[in-house]
Amino acid sequence: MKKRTKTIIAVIAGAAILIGGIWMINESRYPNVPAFDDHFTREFLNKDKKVDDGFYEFKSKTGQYTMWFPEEYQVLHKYREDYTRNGESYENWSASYTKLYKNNKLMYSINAKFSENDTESESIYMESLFKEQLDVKKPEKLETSNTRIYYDYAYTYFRGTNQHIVHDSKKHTPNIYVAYVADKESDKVIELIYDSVGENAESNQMDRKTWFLTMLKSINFSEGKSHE
Amino acid sequence: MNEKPILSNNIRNKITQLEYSGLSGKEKEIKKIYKEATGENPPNFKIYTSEEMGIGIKSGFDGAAIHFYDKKYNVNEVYYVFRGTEPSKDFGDVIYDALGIGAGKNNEQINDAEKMYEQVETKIKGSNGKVTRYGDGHSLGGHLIVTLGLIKKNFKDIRALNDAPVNLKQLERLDPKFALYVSRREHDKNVSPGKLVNLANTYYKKQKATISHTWVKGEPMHAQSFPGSWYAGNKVTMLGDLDTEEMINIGKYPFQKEAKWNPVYMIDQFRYNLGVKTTLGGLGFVNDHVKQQTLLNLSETRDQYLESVKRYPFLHFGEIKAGIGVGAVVMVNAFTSPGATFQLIKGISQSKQAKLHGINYVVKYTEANAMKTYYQVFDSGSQEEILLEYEQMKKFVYYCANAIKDKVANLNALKQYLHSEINEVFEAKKKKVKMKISREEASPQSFMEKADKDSATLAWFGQKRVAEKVTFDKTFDPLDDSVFTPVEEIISSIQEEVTYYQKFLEAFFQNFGKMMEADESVASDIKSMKEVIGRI
Repeated sequence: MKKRTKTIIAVIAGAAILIGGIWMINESRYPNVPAFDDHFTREFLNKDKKVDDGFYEFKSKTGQYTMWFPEEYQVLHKYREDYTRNGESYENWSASYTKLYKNNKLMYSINAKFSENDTESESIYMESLFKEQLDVKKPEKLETSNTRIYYDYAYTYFRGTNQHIVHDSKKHTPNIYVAYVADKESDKVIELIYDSVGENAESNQMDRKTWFLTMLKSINFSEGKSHE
Repeated sequence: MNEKPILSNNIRNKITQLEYSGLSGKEKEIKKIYKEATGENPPNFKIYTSEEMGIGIKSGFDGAAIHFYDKKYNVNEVYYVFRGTEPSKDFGDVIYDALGIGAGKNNEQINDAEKMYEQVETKIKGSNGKVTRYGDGHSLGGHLIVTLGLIKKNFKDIRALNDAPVNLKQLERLDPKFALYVSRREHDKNVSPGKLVNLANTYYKKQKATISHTWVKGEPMHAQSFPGSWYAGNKVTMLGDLDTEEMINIGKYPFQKEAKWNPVYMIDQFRYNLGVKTTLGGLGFVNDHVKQQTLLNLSETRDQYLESVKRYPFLHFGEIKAGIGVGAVVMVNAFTSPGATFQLIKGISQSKQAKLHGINYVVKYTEANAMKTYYQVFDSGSQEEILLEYEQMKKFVYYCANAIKDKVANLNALKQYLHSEINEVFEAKKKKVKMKISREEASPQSFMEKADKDSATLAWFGQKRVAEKVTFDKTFDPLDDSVFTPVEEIISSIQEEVTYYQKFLEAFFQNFGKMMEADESVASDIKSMKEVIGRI
């Protein structure tokens, strides 16, 4: 009887070590960055595609686009409403990243909304986005071979419940960036908002702008799925 | 600009009802509704529909906007009207859609509502003068119009009929400005739904004043709650038979009190909460088997359906099978989960009330004027919205004012008693004692005889004593504190009551007055109340 107990214990311990070992080997296959530490975020990322310094390829669950995803960020999923998708036509996700700097909690976040907006009404949707978020009528525009990118930025703060927006970057380093990225070949659109919270969260405006534009330019809409 | 909207609540209800069959090309019908209600022709108007704009095909969103514009009469009003879940679907779907169980689809509907709004706004931009925006929506449509109003922040008046609540976690993701406010306040992206309710009540204070809800008493939607559900708005109009029992709230465990101390209920509550999602989702499962029970004429079809089952049982084999399955689950549940069983039995007993959710009941009871208005106030203590009946509240305000008047009079009387009457009584008593002393001092012999009874015995022995003089100490100690304390305690308790009533009145006129700014009739009523109370 005693011998059998010992055998059972040995088998359990062996199995635990084996499972643990497999798990560790499996985990070690993933890059050692926060994005891959989170199992939900991992589902969107391609571990073998470190596309540029600090970015991995992100593939939407709609199958409608890919983009570069910053390796420090994790996609929010604590609440059911954090990540939402309707088939292939709509997706809304947010990702965030926090760090401590001189005892201050700094928080960075991205919100991305994928939808299909008819191209004819592009100016309507695009202008309303920038008017509402940044109080800007004509944002900056650039084009890649596949997309039209509209973007702008500002510094924003709240006094009570009133939001104030400062456009002069010399006075305040921008802490909110807004973009509208439209596919040239279809009605597919991504609205992207980046913002940061905390004192000294933004140290270098040029670096932040480059980083934001890198993400925008990396958006690659898949072909032929929009018009059904 | 006209102060009153062109469309009355009654007309707006009927247009919301008409939206279920689509408003595209319904100019004639709208004119007829208007004429029947007012006896006049409506001002010029134009209808815009999501269908014509090609919006909502994938999400299922269906909405319309009616723009009334007449430069001559200074009319420039747009009414956004959003439909609930398609009428061909049954109640399980309605709950499923409206409570956002399929959250992704729901978000896309709001996205489409925003798209339609932007298109309409661009089309009516050319009209002269400032446009005034109104919104109406039934069921899921109510949820959509309220959410849109909170995001856009420029509606004058929104009416949600038998509506599903706003989902604050969803709103945080859909209104980037609110998300910015939350993240700057909390330095966190995973703010709990409970905390969000507090933040939303502050952030959307102005918008709340423009939103009202109209619920048929006993209809199932407004009884449901889930973490983060929020009925934004200050005014609730309850329609129909006000004695109808409220429907069960599937999101709330029925034996919460017992679960605080009884471990059986405690475990059951835990299991119940875990299963709520499945229970709500389960309503969708019921759809697969009970297709005849359509939303808009549930009462009639229900009887027809039961008759059909009796006559042609084989045609309903699937449903009977499902019924037996559900019955078996009930039996098992009865032994394992008292909470779920209670809800199920109660739910079955209230099944007839499901029909009250239909828009036709809103129209019917509004026309019959069977209604009572309540005001919704967020109680930061219990973290819950409380419904207050306006007339009762008004009575309480007057009661407070009169109570303050009476209590202040009592206070003054008590203070008078404390400061002069007690002293007067004391002085009178002192005077009386002093007079007695003087009398005794005047005849010391008689005093000694009264005081010293042994002198009689001594007299018997021939030892007679004579009192030549009697002297009394005529000083008095000041009054002891114990004399004043009970009176002072009464004074301080009355003072507290007066302060409480005064604070209530102050808060009422400050907060409620502000809250009701958008409701002109209530605002002017509050103003006149203030004047009356000022005179009390």
